[in-house]
Amino acid sequence: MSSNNAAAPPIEMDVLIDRCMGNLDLMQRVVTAFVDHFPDDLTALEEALQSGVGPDVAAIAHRMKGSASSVAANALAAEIAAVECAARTSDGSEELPTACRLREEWDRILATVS
Amino acid sequence: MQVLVVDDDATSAMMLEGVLSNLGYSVVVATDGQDAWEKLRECDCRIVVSDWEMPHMDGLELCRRIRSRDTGSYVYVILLTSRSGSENLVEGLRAGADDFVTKPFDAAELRVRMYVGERIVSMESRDVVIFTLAKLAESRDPDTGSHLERVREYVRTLGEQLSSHEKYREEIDPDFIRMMYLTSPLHDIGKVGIPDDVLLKPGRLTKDEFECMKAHTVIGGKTLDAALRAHPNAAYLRVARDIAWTHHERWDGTGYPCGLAGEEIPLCGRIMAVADVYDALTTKRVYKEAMPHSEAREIVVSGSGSQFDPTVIDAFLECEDDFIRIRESLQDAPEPVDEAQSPDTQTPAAIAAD
Repeated sequence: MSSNNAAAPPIEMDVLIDRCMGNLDLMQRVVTAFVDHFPDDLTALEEALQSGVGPDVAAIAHRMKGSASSVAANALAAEIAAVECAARTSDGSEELPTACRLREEWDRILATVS
Repeated sequence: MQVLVVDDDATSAMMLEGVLSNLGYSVVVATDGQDAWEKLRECDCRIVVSDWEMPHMDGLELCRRIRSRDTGSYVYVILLTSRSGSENLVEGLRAGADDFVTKPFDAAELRVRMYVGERIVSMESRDVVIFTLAKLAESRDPDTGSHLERVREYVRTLGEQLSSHEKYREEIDPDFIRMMYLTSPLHDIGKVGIPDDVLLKPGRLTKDEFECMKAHTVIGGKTLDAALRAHPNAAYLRVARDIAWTHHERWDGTGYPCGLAGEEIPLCGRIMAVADVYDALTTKRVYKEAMPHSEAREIVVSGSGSQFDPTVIDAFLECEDDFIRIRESLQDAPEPVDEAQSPDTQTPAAIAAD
């Protein structure tokens, strides 16, 4: 998944502009809100992954996936979806994935929007 | 049209709010199902666009609550979901969702689904039918002008005032006020069952005729009770029935039809009684002039603790400026005097059973 993601744009601008109905002001506000909120969620997810509580991981990941999808950060959304899926199907015996790839993908987004 | 957006993710909520605002909707945002449920009680949102998975109360539970609450207008619910498959679809529909939009949403798709929702809610005609039914019943008594329009405004004003009173704060919420506003025009619906020679009699009613006139409360109450039995979840019918049945009861127990006293009389009936009498006093009839507010106020206040609930009268005094404004803004148009009902032959007997 991540090998494909590396080639995908961090944010698919055409999709995002369409979703905002061409309203660039709205697009700016939404991306700013995303950049403001996402680091806290990412930290919370990392902590939940470390504590290994599947339902907590799934709930946080679900919200983050929605957030990333909204701004058309589709590669990041796909990484988060994998974490959510693993957390939902985990029976507690296997290790949950780490958030390393999420951090990498997040850094790509920051490099794009900053 | 006001739309409620419900999403625990701030970015998604902002995106939805922005797009729906672009489409011309007035948007209220809630952060989860519980927050949405509270906001729905405060505002008049006809369409809800809600995320499915949320903390505290999810979209499904929100749907169920909306469907179990039958207070006013229909609320159209669109669930946002990344779930697919017929199982999820069935689960959402069972909970009361009207439509689904896949997350992340496509703006063009959201736009047309919103239009569908608008079409559905605009087709709803219950409020219009209720008022039309009330006007039809009222049309048999041509002397009442804009009575229904005024009393529902008086009732709403009293309800809003009473909602800040310690005693009734728990009982009166925005739903209660909305239901009273909606159903108060039906208070005299039972007059359709009163014979013309009594209802339209220009002179004083005999004792038997007055007994006959009093039956309009029972006729109206029973009719609405039958409707309620057929639709037991329709809370507004319960309020309508109680108003029709009890708006001539008196606080001291000497009213009709049941002689209920004090808080045995449903609160909606106690509020309606004040609104109805105030309007009767301040409205011109062919046999009497309209009483000025000050005079009507004195009569209404003198009935505190005997005819009326004292707390409702306190509320009346606190908002009497609103009563004056409503009365002035909903004045009846002057009508030609019907010689068959000359002032000389009219008595206040008829108004007593209004």
